[in-house]
Amino acid sequence: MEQYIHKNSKYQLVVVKTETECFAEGTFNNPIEIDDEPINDNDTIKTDILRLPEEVILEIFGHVNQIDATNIRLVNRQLYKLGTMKLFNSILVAFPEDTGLNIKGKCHVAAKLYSEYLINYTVINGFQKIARVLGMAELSMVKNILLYTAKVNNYSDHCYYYLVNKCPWITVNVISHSPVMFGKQFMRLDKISMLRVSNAYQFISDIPDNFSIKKLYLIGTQRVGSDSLALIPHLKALKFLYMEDNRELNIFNQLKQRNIANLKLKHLALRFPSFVIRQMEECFVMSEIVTFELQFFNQGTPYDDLNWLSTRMTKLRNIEITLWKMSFTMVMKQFQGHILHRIKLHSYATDKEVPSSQVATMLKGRESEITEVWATSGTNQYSGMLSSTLFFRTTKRSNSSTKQSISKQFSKTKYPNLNTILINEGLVLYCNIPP
Amino acid sequence: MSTPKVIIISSDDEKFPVEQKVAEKSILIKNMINDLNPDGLEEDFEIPTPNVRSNVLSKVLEWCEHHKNTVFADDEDEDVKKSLPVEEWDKNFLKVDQEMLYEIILAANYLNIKPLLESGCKMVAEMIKGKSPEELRRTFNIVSDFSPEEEAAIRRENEWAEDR
Repeated sequence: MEQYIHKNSKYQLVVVKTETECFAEGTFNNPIEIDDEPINDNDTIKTDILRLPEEVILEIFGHVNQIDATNIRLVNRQLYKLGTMKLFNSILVAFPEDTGLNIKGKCHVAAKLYSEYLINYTVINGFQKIARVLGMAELSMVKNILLYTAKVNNYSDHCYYYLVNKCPWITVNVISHSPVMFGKQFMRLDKISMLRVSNAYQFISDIPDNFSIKKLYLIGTQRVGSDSLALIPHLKALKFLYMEDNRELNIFNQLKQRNIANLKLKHLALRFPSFVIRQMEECFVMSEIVTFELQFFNQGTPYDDLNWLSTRMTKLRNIEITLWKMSFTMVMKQFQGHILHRIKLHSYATDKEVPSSQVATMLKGRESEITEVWATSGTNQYSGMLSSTLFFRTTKRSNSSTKQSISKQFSKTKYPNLNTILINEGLVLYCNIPP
Repeated sequence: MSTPKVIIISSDDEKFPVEQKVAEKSILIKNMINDLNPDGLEEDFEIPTPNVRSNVLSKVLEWCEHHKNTVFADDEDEDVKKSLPVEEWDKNFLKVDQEMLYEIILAANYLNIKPLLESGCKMVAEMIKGKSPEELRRTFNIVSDFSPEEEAAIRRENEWAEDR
């Protein structure tokens, strides 16, 4: 997989290769970074930011990532304090020790990448690092912790136990494949804000009404185990719903059977073998959806239905579409008239690479609104799920002419808000975290 | 009889008569109008804003005028709003010197105009992204008050967050 990134007045290109057989995304090798433009410092003016109230400065810091926060801490004493608050506000802990994949299970942080997770969390790896925080005064600044682990093992389990019992002010969420960890989360549903339910988990679906869970991931909605769909009506604060099942089923009928209708969501992801798109309306309030993910595992490129979606989703801002041998141009045509910030398209069952000129054509008229573009193809249908890939590693400079030409083609002047661009990916893996 | 206006008075006593709709982009002003005129505005209504100077107030009201018909997403969607870029018009509107940008942010904060505050904060965040401590000091004209030893100690602390 290759990824190209540029941000701000600096360009940065990143090449990351993926490995197979790893559950986590932190498995990229040979990363390369290019800075081909010096920082423009003309904006130096005699004034300072420190007149702003602390809460406003913290709101500003809410838009930068952890590497920026470490730099902010070095500016002066006042910013050290505020940068520290930013750095410790929300922490995502990965446990490479527990994955059994040793160092390769690490999450890597790219300095100039501003993905949703990197803006919202400080990402650290390993029990040692979180254990340090547990003993520090900064622990009192922590509001959210997301534990990210494949299996439950001593490390993540110990950390979970400590946080839940000793730090009642922290919201502790978990992304895990372990039924044990799921069970622990399920015991305290009113204390968590996201829940990931996998196919084989056993639980009681008739829960009391819940007002804290905003995000729900349902992986394998109709298999053995409990009725995960029946949770939905109880989650009164739900804004984000991800559903994925590679078995043939009529998801909308399933939802209707549970009296689920008029669901108001900001983010909806539907990944199934196929379904009748126009039935969506029976379950969801289409005009509320801001981010929409669609994947069909089966053949079929329902352009007309996309157009139908597009006219109904009046607030749509981000799309992620994975279909069998689809034409990017045809897909984009269906979304004419929408201002789209994140566009992620993956055409699978094809070995043809996506030419960068096609991406430029696809973005015509959208130059100033676009922040993130993924245009990929591959033989594997699961590659669309790389969108859940959170972190990328960046290190040394590269001289590759392809990357430089991409950075020229997608320049800051032409695409002022673009911060991530990914064109093509070679090897693709099933990447299931999160969900 | 013409529709009553809201007259906003800056700290330096300049009067800005605006439509009620425009003034109510400020939640502070909106609440004042509603609290003091439970039956609606019957005549021109004066509101002093002792924290905001006329040059800043006129700028803020220009923004309110431009957005008088804009419907902003409700408050709950923090995550969604965070990931959106600054709207083109706001971006150009906020291409002012740093001093003015901070004044606008301060006024938006005081007057409770969330979308303007947000755009302002994003503009400042853009000035921070990807910069080294030295570049940050130059950009924001801040002098370091750390000794070399202290700075070295913070660099060691920072390694905690630098898994690349």
